[in-house]
Amino acid sequence: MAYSAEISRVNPTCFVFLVDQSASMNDPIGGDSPQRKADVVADAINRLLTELSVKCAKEEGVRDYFHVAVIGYGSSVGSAYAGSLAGRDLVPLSEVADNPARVEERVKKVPDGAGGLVETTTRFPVWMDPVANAGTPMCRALQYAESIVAKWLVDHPGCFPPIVLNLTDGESTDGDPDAPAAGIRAHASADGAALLFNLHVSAGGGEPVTFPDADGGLPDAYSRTLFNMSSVLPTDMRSYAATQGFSVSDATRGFVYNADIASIVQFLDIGTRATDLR
Amino acid sequence: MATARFPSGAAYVEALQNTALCFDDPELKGARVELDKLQRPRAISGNFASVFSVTAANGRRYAIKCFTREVADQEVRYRAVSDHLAKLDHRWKVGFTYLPHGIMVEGRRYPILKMDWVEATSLTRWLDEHVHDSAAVARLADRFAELVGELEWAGIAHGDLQHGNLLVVGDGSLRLVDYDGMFVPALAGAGAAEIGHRNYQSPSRTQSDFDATIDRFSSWVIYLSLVAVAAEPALWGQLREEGGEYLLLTEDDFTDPDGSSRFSILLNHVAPEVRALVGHVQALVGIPPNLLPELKPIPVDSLSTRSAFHQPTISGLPAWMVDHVPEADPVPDKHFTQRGPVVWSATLLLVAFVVGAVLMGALAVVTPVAAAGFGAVGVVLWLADLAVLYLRGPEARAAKQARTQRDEARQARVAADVELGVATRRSDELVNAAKEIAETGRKRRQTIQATHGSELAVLNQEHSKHLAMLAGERTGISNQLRQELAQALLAAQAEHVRSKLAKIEIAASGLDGFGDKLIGSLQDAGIVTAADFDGVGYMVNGQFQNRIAQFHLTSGYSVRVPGIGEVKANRLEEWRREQERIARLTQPIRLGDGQLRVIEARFRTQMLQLGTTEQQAQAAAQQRKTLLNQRLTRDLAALDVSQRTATAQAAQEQSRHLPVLRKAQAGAERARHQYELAEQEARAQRTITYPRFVLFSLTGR
Ligand SMILES: Nc1ncnc2c1ncn2[C@@H]1O[C@H](COP(=O)(O)OP(=O)(O)O)[C@@H](O)[C@H]1O
Repeated sequence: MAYSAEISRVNPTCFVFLVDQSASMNDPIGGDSPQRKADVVADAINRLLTELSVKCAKEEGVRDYFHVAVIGYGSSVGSAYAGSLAGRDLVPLSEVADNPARVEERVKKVPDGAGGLVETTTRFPVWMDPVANAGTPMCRALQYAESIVAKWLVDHPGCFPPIVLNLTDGESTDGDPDAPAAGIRAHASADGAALLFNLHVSAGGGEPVTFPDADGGLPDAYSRTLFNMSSVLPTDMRSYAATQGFSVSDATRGFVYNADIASIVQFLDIGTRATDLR
Repeated sequence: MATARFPSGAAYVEALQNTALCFDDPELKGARVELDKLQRPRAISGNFASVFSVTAANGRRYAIKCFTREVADQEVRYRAVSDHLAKLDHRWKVGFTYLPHGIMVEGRRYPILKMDWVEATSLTRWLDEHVHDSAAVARLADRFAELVGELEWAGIAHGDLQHGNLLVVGDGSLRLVDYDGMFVPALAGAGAAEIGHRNYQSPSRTQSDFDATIDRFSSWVIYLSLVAVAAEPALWGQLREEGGEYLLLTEDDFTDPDGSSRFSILLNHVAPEVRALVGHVQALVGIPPNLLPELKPIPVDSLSTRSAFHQPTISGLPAWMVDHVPEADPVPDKHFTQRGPVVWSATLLLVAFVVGAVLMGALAVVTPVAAAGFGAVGVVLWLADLAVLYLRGPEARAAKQARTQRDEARQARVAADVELGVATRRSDELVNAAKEIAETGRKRRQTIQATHGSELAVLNQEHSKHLAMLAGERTGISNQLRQELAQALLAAQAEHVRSKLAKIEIAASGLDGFGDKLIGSLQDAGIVTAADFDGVGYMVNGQFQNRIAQFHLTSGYSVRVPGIGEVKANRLEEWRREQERIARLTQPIRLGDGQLRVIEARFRTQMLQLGTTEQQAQAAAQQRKTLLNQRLTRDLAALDVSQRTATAQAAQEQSRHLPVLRKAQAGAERARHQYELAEQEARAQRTITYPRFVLFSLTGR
């Protein structure tokens, strides 16, 4: 069965995050939120990296189940790590976990459980800062990711297929991203084709959508393009999505519109044998 | 959303930064959480939960398990497990309380498991540190068998026995954690909450297998691994890759036991106990989980005292040492030992003959020549006797055997090297093949895209040429229209002037000097009104040296009118001009609507036709473009499909070959060591020679 390879230190896989850093990311996300799209995306990446680090933390520290690249695209295409990881593409997860650019103290109002709100401070590691300028060379970014994936697969032919996660507002300025997206999905390990997932942040409004199985309900052409570029969720990930309360079908894709995508990390199995939950 | 969506590990890390807020439990509220390098709560994560170390104000340390995935009927299960364990008094137990609303994350409450903290090391890490302490590993195997016996005796099962859930405490005893998947009799029929770690479970275990037997497969696997490592620590490095999430065997070995290199190495192990265990475990793979036999440990008091585990190899080193002797210590040269009675008797024989010969010579019993001959026979007999003794002797036999073993080891090494060479070459080939596939794919993609690009460019070029031509036509047409309109206006104006002038008769002009006769002559020449001529020219008459006027008629002819000289002709012409000037004052300055419409209508059809042609060209180009794009998409998709298949195939071959390569590497390494040892051993035999034996028989050294 495809997408069932063990993810382990002996057989690690890779995650490539692509982050839209174009000028349009300067626009507010819309709705009640004053946040800019660039902030939303930077937060999402920092969350995802935290999520991966926590998931792979064991008694002696974080294990290198994954190697992770964060690639920005805007005025140029390349590593978006800040701090001591700057300029690097794939970095072993343990090194990522120990080397954020900084840890911010963030003050948040959270429910106190009794109907009120209380202020609390949390430490939030930051690996990537929000950037927004120039165009959106999404095609080039996808090609860059493809080259990382291709190189990885030469050395890890039996791994769980690499995952590319693209975070964008969708307005590619260097052509139709469909072909380069297919380019990524055409690479495969013995365990299946590489996966391409997309997070669409948009001021377009409408309901947030998580893991849809058709593009009918999507608000605009950009989201439909991104939906159609996204891989169908592998069976096991789909089962976990279902147990987490998402409604899924055979056609459910790794696409999210204005919603949280960090849950994708929870869908990955490490060690335990995949169960046919549903 | 109906189903509870559990928080992620990171969400728990965030919530635990404020234990005064997230916990209700009086002991946990405000308790201190152990932090990581970034000063955030340090998580230890499994697939279903993250565990945090929390120390209460009273100094008690807890392991707080926060769930990241839903477990069906979790509370019921934990209650049942808790009730059942309360009755047991086993050392492996870890105390816990299930708190159904134990933690608040982002305003919502979720269950936690509050466990006593176990200060311990997980099994793989412990083995990494203790692998060379065979006695300790053997003791651990015993203890593990004991633990399994206790579970069996209690009629319960853990459900996920594996290295992460078996913790080794400082005193070497075992603790069992993670009771998520535990079976207790009260849960019979509930179905398994999880089916355990992939590298420890029978391939045929499913969620419906849920009874006291679910640990059996994993028990055997773990016990076998511990026993094998105790017997030969080198296996820990040979059968596993560093950081592997398994002991000695993995899922692949269970799904394909016959093709498994690990099974085959273990099945050829020197220790018969290990061989027997391995054979047994290999056979378990085909047995339905609920029919698996109970773990039967090796029936001895303690494995650690068993000498069978330290069988000497040719060099006298135990098998597990082989890997740890990079350059074997030189083996001291061998010597002959113990001159036995047979050797003594041979020496006596010599002495007897020599003494006999001397006596015979001295007493002149025989001739000196005969006596010498007798002595020589004695020496020859003695040497022959010694030769036989030498060849039969233990030292020479050992020497011969050592040399034979060395030769065999050399052959084995050559064979292993050849095998490694083949495997390495194959592996290079596979890597290159994969690279080539990627390269070909990239090239084909480039070709497809380049072809598409150039075809598109040609199409665009042709199209814009066509458009330019049509645009030219359009300009031509509108120029023509303008021209035609101008001409029509000119014609209308000319007609106006003509009709005006036609009404003005010369006879009525009252021009000076134009009497009836002259008017008559003009009339004869066809000139009656101002419209009948449009100018006057002069011809010079060479004969009379005077100029003769010629009237240009509007009909195109030129005529001479008798009686009109230059002066009168000028006057008439001036008059006509004046009349024309006056007529021009009233001429039309634009075309009549009707006429305009007629002309424009004619051109409009032309323009419309042109527009249609342009649209058609546009559409045709678009269609060709669409076709090109469709072809590109189709070609790329087809390429994708073939690339994916090829890549997947190559990757499959590569990963199939990997164990072969590993095995060949290990084999070559082993063979090299064995040869070196055998070579040392053989070299130590160089002192075992016949002459030395002769010397030895005489001197004892
Ligand atoms: N009581 C405990 N004391 C110390 N460490 C523990 C304890 N319980 C669990 N752990 C550690 O946390 C890890 C994960 O816990 P576990 O219950 O196995 O989670 P999961 O069910 O997700 O596999 C274990 O491998 C172990 O290292």
